[in-house]
Amino acid sequence: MLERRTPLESMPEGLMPDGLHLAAVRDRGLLLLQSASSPAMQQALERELGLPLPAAQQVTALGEYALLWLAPGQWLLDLPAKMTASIETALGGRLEATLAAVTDLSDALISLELGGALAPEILMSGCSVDLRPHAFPPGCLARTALAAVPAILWNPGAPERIRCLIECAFADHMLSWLRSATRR
Amino acid sequence: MLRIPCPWCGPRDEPEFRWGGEVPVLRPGPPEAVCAAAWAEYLFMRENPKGWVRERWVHACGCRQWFVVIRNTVTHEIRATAPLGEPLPEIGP
Amino acid sequence: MSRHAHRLERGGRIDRSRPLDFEFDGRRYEGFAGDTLASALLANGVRIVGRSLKLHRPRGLIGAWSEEPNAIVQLGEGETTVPDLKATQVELTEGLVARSVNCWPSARADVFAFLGIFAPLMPAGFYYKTFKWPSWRWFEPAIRRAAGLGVAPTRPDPDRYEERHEHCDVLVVGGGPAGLAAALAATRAGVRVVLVDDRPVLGGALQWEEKLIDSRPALEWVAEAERELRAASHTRVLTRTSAFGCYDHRLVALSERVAPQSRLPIRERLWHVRAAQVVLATGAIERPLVFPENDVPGIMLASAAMSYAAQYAVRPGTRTALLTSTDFAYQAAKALQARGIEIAAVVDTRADPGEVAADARRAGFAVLAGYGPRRVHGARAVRALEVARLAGGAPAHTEQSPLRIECDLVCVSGGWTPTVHLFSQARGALRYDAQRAALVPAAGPKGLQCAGAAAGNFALRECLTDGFAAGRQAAKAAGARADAGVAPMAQPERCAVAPFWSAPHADRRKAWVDLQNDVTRADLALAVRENLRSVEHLKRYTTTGMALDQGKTSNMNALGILAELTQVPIPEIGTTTFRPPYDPVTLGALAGRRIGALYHPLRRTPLERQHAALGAVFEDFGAWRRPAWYAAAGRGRQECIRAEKRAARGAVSVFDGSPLGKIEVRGEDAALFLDRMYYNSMRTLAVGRIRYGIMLSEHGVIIDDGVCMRLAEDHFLVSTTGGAAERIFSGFEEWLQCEWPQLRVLVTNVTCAWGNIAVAGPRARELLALLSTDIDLDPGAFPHLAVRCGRLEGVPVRIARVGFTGELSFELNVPAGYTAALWELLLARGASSGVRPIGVEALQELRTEKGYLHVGTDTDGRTLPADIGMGDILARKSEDFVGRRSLMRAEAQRPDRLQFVGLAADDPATLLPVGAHVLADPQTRRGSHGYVTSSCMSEALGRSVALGLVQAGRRRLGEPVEIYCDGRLSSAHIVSPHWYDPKGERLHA
Repeated sequence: MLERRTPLESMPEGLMPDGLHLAAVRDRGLLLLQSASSPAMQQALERELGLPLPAAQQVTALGEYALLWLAPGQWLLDLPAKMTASIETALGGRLEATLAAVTDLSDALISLELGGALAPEILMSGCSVDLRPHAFPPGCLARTALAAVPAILWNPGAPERIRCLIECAFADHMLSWLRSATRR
Repeated sequence: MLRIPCPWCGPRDEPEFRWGGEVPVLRPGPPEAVCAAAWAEYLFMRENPKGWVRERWVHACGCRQWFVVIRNTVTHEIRATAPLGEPLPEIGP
Repeated sequence: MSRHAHRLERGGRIDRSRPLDFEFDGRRYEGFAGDTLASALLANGVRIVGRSLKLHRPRGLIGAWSEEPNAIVQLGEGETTVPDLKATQVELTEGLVARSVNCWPSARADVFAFLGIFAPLMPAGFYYKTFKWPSWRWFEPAIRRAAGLGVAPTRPDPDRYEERHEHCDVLVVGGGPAGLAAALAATRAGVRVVLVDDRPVLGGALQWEEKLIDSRPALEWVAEAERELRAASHTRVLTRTSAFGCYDHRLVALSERVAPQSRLPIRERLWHVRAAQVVLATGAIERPLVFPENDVPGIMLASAAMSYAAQYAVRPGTRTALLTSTDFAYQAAKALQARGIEIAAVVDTRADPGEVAADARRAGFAVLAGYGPRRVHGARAVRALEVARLAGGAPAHTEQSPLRIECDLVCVSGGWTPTVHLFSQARGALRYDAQRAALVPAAGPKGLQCAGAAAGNFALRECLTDGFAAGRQAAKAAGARADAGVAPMAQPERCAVAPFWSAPHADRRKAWVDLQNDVTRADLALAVRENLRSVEHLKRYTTTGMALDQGKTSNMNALGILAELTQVPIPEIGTTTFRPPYDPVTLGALAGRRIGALYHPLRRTPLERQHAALGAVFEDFGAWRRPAWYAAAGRGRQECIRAEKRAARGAVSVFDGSPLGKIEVRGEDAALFLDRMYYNSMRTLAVGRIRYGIMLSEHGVIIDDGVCMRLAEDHFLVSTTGGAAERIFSGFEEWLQCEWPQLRVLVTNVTCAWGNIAVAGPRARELLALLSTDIDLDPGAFPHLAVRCGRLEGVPVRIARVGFTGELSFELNVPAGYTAALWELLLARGASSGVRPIGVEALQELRTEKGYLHVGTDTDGRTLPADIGMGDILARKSEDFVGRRSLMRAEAQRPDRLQFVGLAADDPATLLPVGAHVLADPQTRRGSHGYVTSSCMSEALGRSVALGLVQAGRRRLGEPVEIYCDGRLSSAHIVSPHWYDPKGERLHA
């Protein structure tokens, strides 16, 4: 079996100046869920995982699973990597009768987590959405542009943490941007 | 720089969006039944009013949804936005 | 001259225990911490701080902050130098080096000063009148050298610049009394507030006016207000920050000077503040008076003289005359006298200034009411002011009985002009207020208001109440519930003004309106005589109010004079549009960190590191960084590309096709939808098969090509060219959401989810046979243009028998994370088959000799399907598709359209240059019948090959043509584009 790699494998991790912390979120899978009918998707997810659909710009979470709103009729399921294939098959089966699609995007996006009290300000040097705690509380999500590339930003609920999902082709760009943003 | 209220993501800065022109523009068809003038009208002719206009925008680096915006081309004021096909206030003077 | 010769004994907000050395125009001086460059120069007795733009006249300090038009300096040296700063805004630092601009070797002794004698040759619009023959271009370099301001650094700026987005409920611009009151009210109401001020300290005019607020010294109130604001967690206070632009929907751009005051290694920070409510408490700028020789060093705004004396403990002169048309000058007289400056007289142009003059006389001041300025004595410094009694009301004054007042300083005070730049930039309307003799804000855009002096409320008492009310109102509009409390109070004061736009006979000697752009009252008069009466024309013709200055001290006087000259009332004249920036902004701040590698984000393939290890030379192809070719030691570019091509034709090549766009189209209407998206028919495509297709715009023009694979009855995979994935996917979404929402189709962009490696060449199957897969690779089971899904080396794979080289080819699609391992495995296992990675350059040459077109290279913005030989499909397809109706136009059917063909140079060693034209008439070398689009040397064919678009090309196969490029002609023949393997036997191997 071929070895699986990510553009983040050589990423240096750890503490940065000003109490910032940057880490790659590893061993996670990502399933894009599309459906013309929200009730059908709602039913499939509740039966399979017990997860309710999030409202617009929101995330619902249960244990190791998080369900991210992306657009009307589109969600992203963030789950343990080892569960990806089986959940993809199971959800696909439950949605067979409707116009729906389950797509494995685990390799398409990288997931980074920036922590620290200054994390919102650092990200707001390249993002026009207000990410400070009062405007971007736990469970909040924004699809926007970060450092001039499309990004899905969300607050996983842990204090002072922001997750960034970025197209993997922009991994190097995002890491050099973050390096330059946090340089002191 | 405009601040455009996306019906799903809320107010965002203009660079997140792409402009799609005036609406409605009805695509004539079938091709064989469309005279040259009607096709040219569809391709090229727009009202381009000075004042209130109804146009469509897409939240390109957000939720990627197209929606309708009522905007004043003189003041850039945005009166309302709504998903395609949903009711919006009439545009008056 | 001794150091600090003009420093007052006491007072000032300078730190006398911290002397700072600095250099100006090559001479060394000393100042104190807390000085500006301007105040330090003044303390050292430096009177001439600049030379005027056109005539190089000596100029001194007029203002004390951003209104200063004369003291423009080049700060620092080498790569960190900054041009065009105002000395009044440069905070003094140890070792600071500055030069005055627009003069040489110094402002004091400028060799260009002789230009003054040519003054009569440089009236308004002299550029337009003088430099017409032989051409402006002939004169421009010399004029730019003589007239320019600062110089840009020639080497890259090593400093760092930051950018920040900020959101708040209430943004208050200006930290003077009105701004502080507004920020206090909004902060107390509990909303998020940002307060910005371009000075290092808050307080604005309170720093030098020495008034009482709530019965205490005003600066105590300022300090307390600042403490309260900084302590509030929801309020941000930014000093040294200039709000330079106000844009749609209350976006305000700020430029913050971070270094050298902060220890952060950041020089400047650009802020984009989006506020629910904006309060512009930008204050007002005092107006100078327009009279003969009003540019002699030693003539200064009264407010600036007060600021130098009170803030910096500098004596701007020893004996001063105040020249005024307002009540404010009497305050100035008292304040300056209190600092030990002798007051020679207060010259008031008003015949009856009323109580304010009577009070002054009682206090012992000499007041000359009803007098106006006649001229100034002294060339390089003021020696005396000559005044005369004015007779007859404005504007047609006459004068009598001249009177000479000996003085070394003339303080002018012609009234206050509200700083409405930001308000006007945001399309706020202005109206002329005759009582205040100023343009004041009228109706503004939603959520934007002016307060305090910016709104025409010049007295401190009104500033405070107006500012507080504006802050309270803005907070309420932004949703505040809490009460803001009571506004701070101050004593009433007199603020009357009677405009005195220019002195009688001002045109006899030079009377300056715009000191920075060297515009006189006579220039305005000339422009009016030449019928340039619109204020917008006047501005451009005379250049008044342009450049760094943006008319801060000159606009209102120019308007008043224009009204006098044209006999049109000011409200009917209107005003010019203010444009950003209010004050100059460095390009470094605007660029921020978007420089170098971060300038343009590039996508990288999952094989980036593998390519680099193989010596790849990367280039940018559209949005992607890709290997152009692989360098080998001791071999040149062409040689390496040739070796790659040889492997592709003779053995097996691997190519990173990961950037190819990949779009999944699913649902019961998928085939119907793709039929509308493609020119070609996709409904008839069998499951497991692939079809080449082109997509058109509604104009019928080819916008992309690629293959479409049918994975299941209701499941297709669309492949786009590398740079087009996002564009085509967006197009799919737009058609589905806007035109055909009823179609039961879902589209998904999976471009980055899958890696793609094209294995191509006669030994491609041999190489794949060395890998473990459940897919039957036998040509019978897996023919050309088929697609198979299965597993390869234990991971999911989609293999497509397509390629761009013209050889037997397999495109392997695996989840992106496995691409690198698969690539390494192919190179290792394929060593014995002669496998070689090929880059984009080799691929382009291979496809050129195969005659495969590349959309955008071999087609242009007019190319229709019939032009590339695909016209017959239209008749066979009955359904509508995007662009169909446009193909039915007469224009689309013309026989003489440019068509895609091959071009064979008669000399096989001649490479036809891309872009070379096919001559319509070789005799006269006139007219074009098309051009070369792709061209390369083909080792496989042993000759040069080229592709092109040629008028009626396909009917002219075999015809000789002449190809023209840069004066050279080459003979060639029009041929079929399919140079290599025209029957396609190698594809089907």
